[in-house]
Amino acid sequence: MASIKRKGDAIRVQLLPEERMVLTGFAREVAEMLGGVPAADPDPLAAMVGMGADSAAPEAPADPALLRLLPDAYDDPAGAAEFRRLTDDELRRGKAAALVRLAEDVEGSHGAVELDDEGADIWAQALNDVRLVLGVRLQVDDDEGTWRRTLSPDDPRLPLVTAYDWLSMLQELLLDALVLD
Amino acid sequence: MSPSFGSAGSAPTVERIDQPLGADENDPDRQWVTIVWNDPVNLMSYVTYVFQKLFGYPKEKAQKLMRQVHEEGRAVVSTGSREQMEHDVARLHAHGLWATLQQD
Repeated sequence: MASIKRKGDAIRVQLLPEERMVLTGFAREVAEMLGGVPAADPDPLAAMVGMGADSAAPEAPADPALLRLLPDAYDDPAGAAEFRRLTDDELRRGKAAALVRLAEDVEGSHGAVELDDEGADIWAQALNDVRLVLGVRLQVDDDEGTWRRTLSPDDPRLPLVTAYDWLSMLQELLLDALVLD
Repeated sequence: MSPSFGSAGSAPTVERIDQPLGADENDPDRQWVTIVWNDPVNLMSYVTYVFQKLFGYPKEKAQKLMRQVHEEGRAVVSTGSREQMEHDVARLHAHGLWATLQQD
């Protein structure tokens, strides 16, 4: 069973092999959904001034899980579209980078990862994004857990529910270690 | 609202404005607000943590705002210029919170 404990300035995470697989699998999958992390920017200057190949105005995602990660900032469609045009690329890259960082930290370990506060903060964001995607896929729709009662004993989503609950527990452990006074 | 100054040499005056606040939809001086909406997935501890981290709020204030989001469905978490609120919304989205901005 996973454990996360603070030791002085370090936060120590211990994970079982199957837990590492679940974590890296979901983190990489969500990073891919977001468009991944480009290995190297072919033209950093063009990217900086917003002249990348994909500088056309991005549309709100059709996938509700992706829309939850990249929500509208304004009620009014014109404001939302303009905000999205200005922020979509950076938001996707930032999220994908955090998810890949989480996956690489776990893959580069043998079950014991040592994080500083900044690393733990990146993990908290990445774990949250994975949980948001699973939450939409599982149709988690209220705080009281009504959605759980709609699951039958042979529901094909049960493995996802197990993963969702485990990720929630891991996130709580991480926040306990990261807590701000 | 922008302060009004009397002409040079005259005593400063205070004008009473009986118009209710927010009556003018196009008032450029009206503040903008960042709103965080309730979400069944985000953990309460995480939402509190994000409010503390992004806005520098003491834990008690961050928890109060988190509970307001949870119980009332939404809470105003910051107030200021449109540019500041766009910055706050972008940071909240980066952290996975469901946030919008609007004029108060």
